[in-house]
Amino acid sequence: MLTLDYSITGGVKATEIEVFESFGQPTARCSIITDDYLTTDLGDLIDVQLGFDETGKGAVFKGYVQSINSERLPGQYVIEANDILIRAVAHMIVSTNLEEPWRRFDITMEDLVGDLLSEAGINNYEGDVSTFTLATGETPVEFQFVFAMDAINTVAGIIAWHVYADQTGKVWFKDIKAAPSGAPVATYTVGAGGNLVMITRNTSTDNLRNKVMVFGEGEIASDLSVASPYLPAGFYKTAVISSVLIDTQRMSDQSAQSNLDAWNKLTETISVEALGDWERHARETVTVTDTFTGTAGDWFVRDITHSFTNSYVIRMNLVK
Amino acid sequence: MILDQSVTIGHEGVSEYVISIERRHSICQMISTGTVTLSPDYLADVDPYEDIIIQEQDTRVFTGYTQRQSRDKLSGEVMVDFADPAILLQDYFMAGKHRSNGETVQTWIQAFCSLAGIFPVFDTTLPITLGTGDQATEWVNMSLLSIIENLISINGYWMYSDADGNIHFSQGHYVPLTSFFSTGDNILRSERHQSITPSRNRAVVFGRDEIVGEATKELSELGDTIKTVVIASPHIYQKDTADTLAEDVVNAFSRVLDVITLEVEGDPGITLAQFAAVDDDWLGIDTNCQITTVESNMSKDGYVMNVKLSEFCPKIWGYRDNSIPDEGTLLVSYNPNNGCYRLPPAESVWVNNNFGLPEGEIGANSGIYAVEDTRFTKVNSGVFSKAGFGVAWVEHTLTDPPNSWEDTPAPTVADLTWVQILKDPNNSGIYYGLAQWQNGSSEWRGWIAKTTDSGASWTWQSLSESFQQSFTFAGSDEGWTEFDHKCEGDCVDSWTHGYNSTITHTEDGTGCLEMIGTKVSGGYDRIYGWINYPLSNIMGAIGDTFSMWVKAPNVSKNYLVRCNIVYWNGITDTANVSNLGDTWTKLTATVTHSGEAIKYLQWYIRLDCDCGLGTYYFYADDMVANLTIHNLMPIWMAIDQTDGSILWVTALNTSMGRLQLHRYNTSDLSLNRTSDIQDATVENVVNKEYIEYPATTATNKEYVYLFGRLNNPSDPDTSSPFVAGGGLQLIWSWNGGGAWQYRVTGWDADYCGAFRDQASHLYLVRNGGTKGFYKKEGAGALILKGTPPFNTYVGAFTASAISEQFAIGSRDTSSIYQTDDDGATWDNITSNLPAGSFISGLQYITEW
Repeated sequence: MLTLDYSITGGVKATEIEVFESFGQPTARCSIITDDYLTTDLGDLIDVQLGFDETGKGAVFKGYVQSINSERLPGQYVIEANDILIRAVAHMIVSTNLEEPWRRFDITMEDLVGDLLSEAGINNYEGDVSTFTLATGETPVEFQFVFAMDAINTVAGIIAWHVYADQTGKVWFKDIKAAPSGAPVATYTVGAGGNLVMITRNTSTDNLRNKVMVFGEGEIASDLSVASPYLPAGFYKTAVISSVLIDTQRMSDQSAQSNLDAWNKLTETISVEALGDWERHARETVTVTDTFTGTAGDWFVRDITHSFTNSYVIRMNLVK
Repeated sequence: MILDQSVTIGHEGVSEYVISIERRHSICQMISTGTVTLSPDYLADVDPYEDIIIQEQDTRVFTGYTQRQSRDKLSGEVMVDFADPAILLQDYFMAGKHRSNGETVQTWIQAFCSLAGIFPVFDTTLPITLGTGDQATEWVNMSLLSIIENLISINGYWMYSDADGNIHFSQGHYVPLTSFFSTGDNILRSERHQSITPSRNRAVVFGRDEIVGEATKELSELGDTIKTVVIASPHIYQKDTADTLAEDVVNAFSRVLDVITLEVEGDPGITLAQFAAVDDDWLGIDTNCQITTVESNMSKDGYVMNVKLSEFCPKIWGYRDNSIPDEGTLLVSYNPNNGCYRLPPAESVWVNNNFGLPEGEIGANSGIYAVEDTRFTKVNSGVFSKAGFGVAWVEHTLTDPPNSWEDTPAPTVADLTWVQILKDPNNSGIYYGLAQWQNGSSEWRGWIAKTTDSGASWTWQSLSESFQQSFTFAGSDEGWTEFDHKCEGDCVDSWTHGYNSTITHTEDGTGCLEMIGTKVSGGYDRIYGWINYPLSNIMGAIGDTFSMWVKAPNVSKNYLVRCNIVYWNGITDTANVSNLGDTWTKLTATVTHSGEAIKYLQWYIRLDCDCGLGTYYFYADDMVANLTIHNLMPIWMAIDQTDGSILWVTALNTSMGRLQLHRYNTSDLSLNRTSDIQDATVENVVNKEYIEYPATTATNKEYVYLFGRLNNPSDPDTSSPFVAGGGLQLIWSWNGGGAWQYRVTGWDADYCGAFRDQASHLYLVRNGGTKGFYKKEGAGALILKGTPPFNTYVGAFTASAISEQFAIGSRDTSSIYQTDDDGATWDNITSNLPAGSFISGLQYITEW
C-alpha cells in the first residue's frame, strides 16, 4: 500500500489535483481543488509535485495561476494554472505602425521561435538546430495581429516540429512527431505483475493523409503522395499546407515529406490508466502490452492526465 | 402552488395558465429575453409581436413583445418566448446607405429608434460626434440594432430596457445602491470567479487612415507579460480620440476579472445595472458592485434569481469604472500639470482620469486644483462632472451670473474663473461653485453658484448683494446717584438692563430714553449705552455718519457726548460733541471707518460738573444701516462642520484691501455675517505672499501666510477649531472667526497643508523647521506624531472621513504618501504618477 505525497507552492493543501499535458495543446494545465488557497494569488508561479512516500515525489507542473474559483457550496476553491507558454498564448503581436510590423530577415527557425517567445516574455528556451533559415531574400518574416503562440506554431508547422514547455518551465523547440520515437521510458502491462489499471484500443483512418500539397511564396509548391494500404486503391486523403514563410523549394519539399511521414499511417490510439508516476509526461514513448486488446509495442504519449485525489493515477492517450 | 404573478399577452390575462416565468437580462446582451410556460389548458394562439406584460409579486418586471410559441407534445405545455422592445431594432433592416454628417451619436440613436418606433430614454447625453465628409461614418444594409451596438460599444455607452419597456441609453451608468445580498439572509448559493485570462495591460486602437492610439498600464498579476487588446473602428478619425479610447480600454481591462455569481431569493426589485451590496464572508466579499446579469425563474419550485455582478462585456470600458469604490480606500489626486488621477481601491496604479476634459484646460496652474470629489470638478472654463469613473467629464450649462453691479459689459458665465467646487457633505446632490471675475475696470466680482440636483440646474448669488441691518439698544449707567429712567409708549424696546427705565415718545415721535439724574460733586459720572450690531462683527459701509439726538436742558458746559465705533480688534474710532443746551440737538458723529470689523457702536454722556438734578433725553436715529459688500475677490469656501446651514466664504475685499470671512445661509445663500481678518492685497492672495497679522496692532504682530483656505470651520461655542490658514503662523479661531484667538508660533514654512478635525482632533502638517505631522486633541498642545517622508513642501494633505488614513502630496514633486497609524509610518503610493509635476489636491472618495 503506497502512501500519497505531494507538495504545492505556498503549502496549499489540496483535496484534488489534476495536471493535463497534451501534444496537441499549447500549454499544460493544472487544476487544484482546496479548502484554503492561503496566500496564493492570481499570476503566482506555482510548482506541483506528486508521488508517494515510499517512492518519492517529483515535479509534474510549473506554471502561473490564471483563475481562482470560490464555490460556496460545497465550500471549495478551484485554482487553475497554465504553464509558461500561456504567456505566448495570450500575447498578441501588434505593431502600431502598420507599415512596419514585427519582422525578421535571414533567421533560422529555432532563432525565430526564440524571438517570438522572447516577445512574449519567455526566455528560458532551447531550440534544436532545424537547418532551416527563413527570409533569406528581400521578403521578411512578418507577424501582425497574431498571438505569439499561433505564430510559433505556424513556424513549427512548416517542418512539423513541436514547441512545448516541460514541467520545469523550460520551453523546447524539437523535432517531435506524434509517433513513438527512441527508446521507451516505461513499460506498461497487465496481469499480476503489471501496472495497468485499464486499457482500451481504437484504430481508424480518420487522421490518415497520404497526400500533402504545399504552397509557399510565389510559385514555390510541392505535391507528394503515396498509396495507403488502409485506403481504397487510388484514393488519396489530402492535407494542404500554405505559408508565405516557405520561401525556398527545398523547404517546401521538406515540409511535404515531413508531413506525409507524419500523417500517412493508420490512426491507432489506446487509452490507459495506470498507477501514478510523476516522471511520465506527454511526448514520451512507452511500451504497452495487452493481449486482450491486441496492444503491443511502443506508443507515443499524446496526452496524459495526472489525477491525484484519494489515489494517484495517470490516464494516457497514446498513439502509434 | 399559485404563483405570485400576472401575465398579459395581447392585453388578455393568462395568469391562470402560467406554470413558470423565466427572464434573462444582461448588460452584455442587447436584448432581454424570456419564456413564459403555460399549462396545456391554454389553447389560444400567440402571434409574434403581441404585447406582453409581466408582473411578479405585484411589481411590473417586463414589458415587451412575444416572439414565438411552441407546444410540447408530451406535456402539452405551451412555451411563449418574448423579448424587450429592442427586438424592434433588431428586426428593422435599414436598406440603403446612410452617412453621418457631424451629428452626435445620440442624434443617430434617436433617429434609428424613431425608425423602429422606439422612444429612447437618454439618461445622459451621448456627446461623441461622428465624422462628416471624407470622415463620415457610413451604414449600408444593416439592422438598426447592429448599428447601435457598434456605436455604443465603441463609445462605451449603455443600453438596457427597464420594466416598462423603455430603452435607456447613457454614457456610463450610475444608480443608487438598491439591492443587498447577504449570506444568512437572501443568498442561497454563491460563487466567485477571479481570473486574469481576460485581463489586458495594453490597448491599441486603429482608426481611419493611419490613426493609431496606444496605451499601457501595469497589472501586477500579469507580471511582465504583455497582453494586448486591439480595437479598429472606422468611426475613429482623430488621434486624440484613438488615444483616449486606448487609455480607457486599457484602464478598463487592466484589472482582474472578479465575477460574483449569486443565487438569491427572487425579488422584483433586483434589476439590471443597479448596484448591490454583497456581503459573503466565505467568499471574502463585502463590497458594492454592479449587477450585470439577472436570470429570474418563478415556478412551482420557487422564485429564485441567478445574479451575476461585475462581468466583463463588450461595453466593458464604458461601465467598468462606475463601480462603487470601497469607502475610504479610493484616493484621487489632482495634478495641475497632468490633470486628474485616481487610485482605485486596494490598487497601486494611478489611472488617468481626464477623459472628457477639454484640451488646454489641464495645463500648469490653470487646471484642476480645486475639487471636492471626482463627481464634480472645474477647469477654468467651466464646471464639469462625471457620472462614473470610467466615463467622460461632462460640462454643465449654467446661465449667466446676475449683473448685480450693472457692469458693462455684463459678465457671462463664459467669462468666469471657477475657483472651487464644493460638495455639501450633508445633502446629496447639492454642490456649490465659487466663481470670480474682473470687470472692464479690473474690479473684482464674485458669485456663488448652487445646485441641488447634481448639476442639472444652478442658482446664483452675488457675493456683494446689499442688505439692510437694524440695530438694538443696550445701556448702563455709572455714578448717577439718582435717576429715573422713564419711557412710555411704543418705543425702542431693547432697553434691557433692568433699570427703572422707561421709554417715551419725543415730539419727533421717535423712541427716546429720558433720564433724570443727579450729578454728585467731584469727578464725573456718565450714562452710556451701546448699540450692538445685531449680528456681531459685521463688516461693511454704514453710511457716512452715525447720529443720535440729545437734549440736556440743565447742562451748559462740560457736557460731552461721545460716539465710538468699537472694532473687534480693539480699535476705536471716535467723534465728540459737547456743550449742549436745552434743545434737541442732533449729534452727528462722523466717523472715518477704518475698515475693521465693527463690534458695536458706543455712545455716552459724561458730566464732570456739579450740575444737580437734571433731565437728559437722548435717542438714536438712523438705526438702519445699508451694508454693501463690493469689490470682492472670492478665495475659498467651506461648509461649517457642526452647522450644515452655514457656508463660509473667504474673500478679498479689494476696495478696502481686507481679507474677509463671510457667512452665508446654505438654504438661500443669504449673507448673514462678515468678519474682517486682516489686510491683504490681490497680489498677496494670488502669489500667496506673506502678510502681517494682525495688520494694525503692535502686539501679536506676526507674519502669517494667510490665503483664505478654510478647513473644517465651525461656529462659535463649539469645541472645534476654525482654521483659516497657515504659514509662518497658524491661526484659528474658536469663536467662528470673531477673533483669531489662537496661534501656534514658530512655524517657519509657507504651507501647513490642510487641516482635519476628527473627533475633536486637529491634524496638520508642518513644512519648515522640524517637519512633522501633528495632532492636537481639543485644546491641548500640538503633538508631533511623525515626520512627512519627503524633503519638500507639502502641496496637499487630506484625510479619510471614515478611516484612519491620511495622505500628503509634495508641492515640488509628484510624490504622495499615505499613513494609517497617525503618521508613524508612511507608504509611498506615488507609483506611476507622472513626474515633473506637483500635487495640488488630494481627496479621499467616500460616496458616489
